[in-house]
Amino acid sequence: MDKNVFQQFVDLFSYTTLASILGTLVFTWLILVGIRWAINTLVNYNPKYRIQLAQTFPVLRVLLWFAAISYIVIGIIQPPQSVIYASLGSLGLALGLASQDAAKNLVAGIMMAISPRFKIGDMVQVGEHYGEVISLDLSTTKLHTFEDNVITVPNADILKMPISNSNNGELNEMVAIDLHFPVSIPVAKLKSIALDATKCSYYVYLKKPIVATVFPVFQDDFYYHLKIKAYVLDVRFEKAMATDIAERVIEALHDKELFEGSLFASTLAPAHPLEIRPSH
Amino acid sequence: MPKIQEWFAEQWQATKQRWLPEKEDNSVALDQVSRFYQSDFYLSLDAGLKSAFYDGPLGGLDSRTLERKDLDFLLDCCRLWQGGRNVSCGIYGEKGTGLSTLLNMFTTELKKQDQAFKQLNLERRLTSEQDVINTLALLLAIEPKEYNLDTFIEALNQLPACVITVDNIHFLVQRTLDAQVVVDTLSAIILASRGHHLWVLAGEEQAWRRLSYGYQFGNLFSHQQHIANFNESQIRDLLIKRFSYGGFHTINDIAIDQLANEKSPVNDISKRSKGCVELGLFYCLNNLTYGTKPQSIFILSPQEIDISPLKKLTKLELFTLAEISTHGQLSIKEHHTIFRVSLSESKMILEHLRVLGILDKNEELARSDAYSLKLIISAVVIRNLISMNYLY
Repeated sequence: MDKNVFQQFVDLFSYTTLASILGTLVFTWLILVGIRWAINTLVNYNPKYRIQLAQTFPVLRVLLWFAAISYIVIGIIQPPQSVIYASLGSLGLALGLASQDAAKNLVAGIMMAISPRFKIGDMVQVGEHYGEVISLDLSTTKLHTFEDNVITVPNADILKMPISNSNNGELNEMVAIDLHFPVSIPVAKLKSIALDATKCSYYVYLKKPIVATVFPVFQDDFYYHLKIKAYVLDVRFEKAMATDIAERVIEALHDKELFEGSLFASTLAPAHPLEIRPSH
Repeated sequence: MPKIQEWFAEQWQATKQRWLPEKEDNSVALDQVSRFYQSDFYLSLDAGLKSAFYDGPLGGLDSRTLERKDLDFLLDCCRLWQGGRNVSCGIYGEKGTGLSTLLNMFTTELKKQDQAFKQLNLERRLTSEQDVINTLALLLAIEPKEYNLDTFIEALNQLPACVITVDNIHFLVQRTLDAQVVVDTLSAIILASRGHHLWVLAGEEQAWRRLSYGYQFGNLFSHQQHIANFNESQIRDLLIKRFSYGGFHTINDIAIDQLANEKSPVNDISKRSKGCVELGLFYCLNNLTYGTKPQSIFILSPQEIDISPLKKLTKLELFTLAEISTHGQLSIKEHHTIFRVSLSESKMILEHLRVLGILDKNEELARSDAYSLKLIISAVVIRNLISMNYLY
């Protein structure tokens, strides 16, 4: 940047201009705060549409900041062409050298806002982390796990990783529950009780099908692997439903006296006789 | 950010309070809704006006089948069946829509045609295959003896052909291991005797949905009809007719026959009632004063019902309401079975919802510990549960 351009650049920033820029930034920020508050109010009023409503915020934020910065440059600063070219060159260089990762995350955040891979409220698996997307910021994404941890993942990493999305914008999602039982239980009864017990859970979304499959597995001895696939009413109840169904199936089998002794007593039982995991 | 949001929320509430104070201050508490029928004011009304607020269908005045659409549906099904078609039909609608009234009107028409019919009314939850058979045998007055499914169907098909109406099918809904068997048994009986008899089943919409989603109950019927609730103009007409019946021909200084065309609180009440007659009557009674002229009354602008307690309920309480709206009613023991909580916790939850004014305890029934949604606000509660994704 030669001396002449630098002088032009400095001349652009009078106290009035700086105040206007600051005012625009604060005004934009306040509008965003207002929008977020309005969205939260709407979500509280109609939680059924929380995923769709929450998704609008990241897009609006990108658009508003873009509009604000455009207004600052074109409407307030009004730089001559030479300054624009010089500034863009300098900015590009600075971004390229000093903040590679931050710029990557920012660009990834903008790309994700334009073409989302998941929405706020979706249950996703990112790397080894599984949880509900609670925020989609410009540079990071936050997940709320079932262990009540908040995991922050840089957006650039998300673009690189395969993402498993359990509900893809819907409130209900399929949950698979794996249980293991002794082969002494008749298969037909096991399946029928599993289906009936699943329908007893108030978390189950009965509008979608419930499937139970049983197949024998050998590990030191034979046992049955029961897999129940059912849809949960709301992704937030995923673990609660899985636990509820597992407990109801076990209780029902006990009530019908189909267990000879304890499920877990046999030393021949597999290492993890009861395993509950969501499907994603 | 949260502090700014709180600040915005406070400012918004303050502004709302400043400009729309009546909504906050004058709203009617949920637990006060419907008690006006027992209030001193109601008791002090003269006999004529009191008759306008009679808490139940008022003969032909409240007949919603003025268009005869719903009754005609049933009569058309009956004609098809009489013509040899293999027909069975189901009708369902919101709580308080008047399904029982419609069935009564249908059987009155059948009587006029000398068509044999049997009217069944389920009064408790059926729990097993044998229970379904025994209950139906008793209600249909089939020779009492030990039946299994096959022998019962045989006995049923030996009865002279008739129309069989079954009301309160919400008693088929249950979250127990035997629910499937109960529905399957009834389905088998209906399908095996369909054609010989005309089955007409009626039930509340949420129960119907649950049975259709979970047990393919809808497949049983060749014809199904959703019975819509009263619309705005039907409610207005009903209120006007009731006041006229009570001997009051001027409301807010407007002649009763002009009321439909004028801007009056009766129109406002019709709009706010959302199809619920009881709610319309409640709004009228709650805002009523006698006029200065004889046989005239004044109705003030209706006050909002404060439903904020619904928003503060716990997850378990909301699921409880969802299950009650599909089961029709729940006893403490049933609640304990569904939610796998202790009996005392079940009682606490149900009583809390009753105290809030959302549930009614069915004292008049033998099962005095059964709780159901308070009729007057049931539509509001169900709408809220759907919007909160606890019901579908």
